[in-house]
Amino acid sequence: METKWVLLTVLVLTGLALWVVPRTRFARRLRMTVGLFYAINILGILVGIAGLALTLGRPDLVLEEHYYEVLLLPVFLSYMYFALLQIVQKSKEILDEKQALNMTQAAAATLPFAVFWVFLLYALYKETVLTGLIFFPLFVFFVLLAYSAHVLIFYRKN
Amino acid sequence: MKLGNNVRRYRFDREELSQQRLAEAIGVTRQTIFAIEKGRFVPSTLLALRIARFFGKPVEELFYIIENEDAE
Repeated sequence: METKWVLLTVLVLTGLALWVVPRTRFARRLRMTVGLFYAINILGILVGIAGLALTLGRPDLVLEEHYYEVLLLPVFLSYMYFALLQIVQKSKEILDEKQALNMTQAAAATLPFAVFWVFLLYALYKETVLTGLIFFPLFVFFVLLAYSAHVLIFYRKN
Repeated sequence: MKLGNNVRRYRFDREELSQQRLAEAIGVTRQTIFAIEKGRFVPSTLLALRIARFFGKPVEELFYIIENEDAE
């Protein structure tokens, strides 16, 4: 089966889960924990590193075979879990206020890195070191890496 | 100007209640309690009131303003 069909199936199943799971007894067992908060951000770092390495090493796989979507899938599913928790608990306060603050701080700290990264990509394109649509996965994976790392740094430090 | 607090003191007054137990009672993570006690995180009014209610004290007894940070 082609990768895009697998991805489409996962998307449909995720949508279905968001509708079905809150209506089951299993929903009561779902909760956000500190371990999960760490796991999601560590996952973001690992996916970011793997994505950057794969994009630079095998851009053909990443762009033509939809591998970058496959790599992003665990992160997407973890954020869908957040959405599921919000639906089940009928609340937007899934994270505690320090976690929410640290995520905001991480977003702000990531912004200058993202701008720098875009300037660097622009320079590399201008010098034709990079060509084609490779900028997109490079940007997405870099931002994911920078953001996830900053969340963990702020959470541990502050 | 900085926010000082007596959370740690009141926690120890309560038979050395752990940060984890307090966090669970308040509905936050242990890291949040740790950061509040260290003065690295300023809690929202709601959270400050929840902590004060847990200890059965007025919020001003748990949290206070440090006017001169150098004096602390």
